[in-house]
Amino acid sequence: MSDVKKLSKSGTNRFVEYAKGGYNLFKGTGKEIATVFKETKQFGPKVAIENSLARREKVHGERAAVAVSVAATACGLWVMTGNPACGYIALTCGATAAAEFAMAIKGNNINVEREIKDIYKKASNNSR
Amino acid sequence: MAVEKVLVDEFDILKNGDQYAIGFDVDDGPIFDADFMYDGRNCAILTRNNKKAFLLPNINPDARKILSKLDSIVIIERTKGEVSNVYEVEVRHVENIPYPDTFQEDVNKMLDELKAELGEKEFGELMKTIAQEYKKDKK
Repeated sequence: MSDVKKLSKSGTNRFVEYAKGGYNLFKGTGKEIATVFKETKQFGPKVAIENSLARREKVHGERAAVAVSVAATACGLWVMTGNPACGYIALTCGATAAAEFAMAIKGNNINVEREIKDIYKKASNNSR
Repeated sequence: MAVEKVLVDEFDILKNGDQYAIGFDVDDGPIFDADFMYDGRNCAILTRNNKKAFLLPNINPDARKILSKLDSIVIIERTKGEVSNVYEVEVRHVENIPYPDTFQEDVNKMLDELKAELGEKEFGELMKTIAQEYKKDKK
């Protein structure tokens, strides 16, 4: 054991999310992802992920999204952006954008691919 | 005195430039001393005030490589949604923490659950779409 070096609480707002972990990381997420995918599959998994963020309690949406990306990685695939840091940051920072995006999809005929790219671009810029 | 073990349900690995932090919920009062052990695999252990050992399982494979190289890490403790303690602790690299690495198993379970929910056809469709997205990202 060693004495800890205490730091300023206000300094924590400079940190951005890189990854998630924990005992419950995968619990129940298969079912959750399936539900979201069934409802939104016409837009592909990226939108399913964003919608899960928009429609569900934030932490669960993130957990589902992270679990999808982890599962994809485990299968030798990468679902987000090719850059884990950007992917996770996008999922965290994109919550508001995702909510707006989900509403836009509902009401308008919009270019899904372009909108997704914009969300990820904004999130990547935020992370720098 | 025996150290109480606590399994952490959810935690965040955070980044600020080259500095990394772990954030999680703790309701345990002020911090005086700590010990952070990591063996480069699935689980790290934060022992707090020599009273409680927090097991941090399911560390993402991408984060494992980074944690393995760190000399120190910032711990951000949250209580009822507010940051309660922030401190830096040395990362003690140890050979083997006796905690089962079930990461891949948990991923597989989740995929099985997903397959059971969606059925073989839709599950295949989801995986195919993910693969297509992956190829696009690679370009």
